[in-house]
Amino acid sequence: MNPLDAITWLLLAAAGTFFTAGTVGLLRLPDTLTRIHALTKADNLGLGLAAAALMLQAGSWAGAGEIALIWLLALLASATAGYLIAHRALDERD
Amino acid sequence: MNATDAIVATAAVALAAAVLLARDLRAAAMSFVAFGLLLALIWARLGAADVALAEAAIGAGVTGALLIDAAAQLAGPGRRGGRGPTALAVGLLGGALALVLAHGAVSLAPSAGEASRLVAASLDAAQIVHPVTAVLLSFRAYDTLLEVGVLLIAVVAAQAAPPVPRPPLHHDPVLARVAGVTVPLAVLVAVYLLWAGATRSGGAFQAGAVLAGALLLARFAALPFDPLATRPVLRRAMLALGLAVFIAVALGAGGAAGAVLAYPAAWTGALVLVIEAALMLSIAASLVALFGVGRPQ
Repeated sequence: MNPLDAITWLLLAAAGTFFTAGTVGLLRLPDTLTRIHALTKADNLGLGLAAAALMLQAGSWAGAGEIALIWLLALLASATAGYLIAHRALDERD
Repeated sequence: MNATDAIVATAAVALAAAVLLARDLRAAAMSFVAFGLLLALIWARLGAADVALAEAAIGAGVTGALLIDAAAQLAGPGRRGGRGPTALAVGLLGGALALVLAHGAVSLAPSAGEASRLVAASLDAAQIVHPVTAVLLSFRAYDTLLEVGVLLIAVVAAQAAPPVPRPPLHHDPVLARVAGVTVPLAVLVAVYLLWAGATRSGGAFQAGAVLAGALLLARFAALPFDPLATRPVLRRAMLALGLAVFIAVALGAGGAAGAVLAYPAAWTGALVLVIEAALMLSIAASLVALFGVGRPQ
C-alpha cells in the first residue's frame, strides 16, 4: 500500500468514528440543543476528514479544490441550519 | 453487484419501509428525503447521472421540502391519517400498480441495450451531443412538451386552492447573511446545469429545481429581492413561458424544417438551449408556486 492510500484509509476511519459518535449523540442525547451540538460538531469534523481523504484521491488540484469547496458549502449550510433549529428551540422553551 | 451496492440497496428498502411505517408524519417526510438521497446514489452508481441529479434536486430536495412543509401544516406529531378500509384499498391499488410497473421494467430489460445503440447511432442526425438531451428534446420532444403542459395544469389547479395561513416571516440577520452568499451561488449552479446539459449531464429540470431552491431561500430569508411575490404579472408570465416558448419553437422552427417539433439542422443547438432556458424558468416558478407561498397574502 502506498503512503497516500494509507493516509486516506486512516482519515476515512477517523471520519467514520466521528460520524458514528455524532449519530449516537443524535439518538441518545436528551434534548434538541444537545443533539444539535452532537450533529454540528461531530458530523462536520467527520465530513471534513472524509473530504480530506477524498481530496488525496482526487488525482488533480482542480478535483481536490472542488471537494474542498463542497466541504465549505456543507459547513456553511449545517452551521446555519444548526443555528436556526437552536434559535427555534430556544424560542419554544421560553 | 458488490458489497457497496448491496448495502445501499438494503438501506434504500429499509428507508422505504421507515417512510411507510413511521408513526409521525414529520418523521415519515424526513425519512423520505433520506430515501431520495439514497435513490440518487443508486442512480449515480448505475451510471445514470442525469436521473441522479434530478432525483437529488426534485425527488429528495423539492418534494422532501414540500412534504415536510405539508406535515407541519397538518398539526401536531403522532397524527397520521388512514388506518381504515380506505387505507387498505389505497395500499392494495398502490401495490398492484407497483407490481405492474415492476413487470414492465423487467420485461423491458432485454431491449434496453438496443435502445441505447439506436440513440447513439442517431445522435449525429439530431445534431445534439448529449444522448439524454437528444431523447428529451429531439427524439421524444413530444413527451417533454406534454409533461410541461401537465406541470402547468397542476400548478394552475394548486393555485385554485385557498392560500394556507402562515406565520409572518421575520428577518433573521444570520439567515439573511448566509442566503446573501448561497442564493447567488445557487443561481450560478442552476445556469451552469442548464448550460452543461447541452453536452453532459444536467438540463432544464435539474436547473429549475436548483433555481426554485434559490428563490425559496431568498423568500424565507426575507431578502429584499423577491420579484415573484411582488409582481403577479411576472409570476404568471414565468409560469407560462416554458410551454409558450416550446410550442412556438415546435410550430415556428418545425414549419421551417417541414415537421412539427423538428429543428432546422443549423439551429438545433441554439433552439434546444432557448427551450431549456424557458423551461428552467417555468419549472422554477412552478415549484415555488406549489409551495403555497407563491402568492402574497
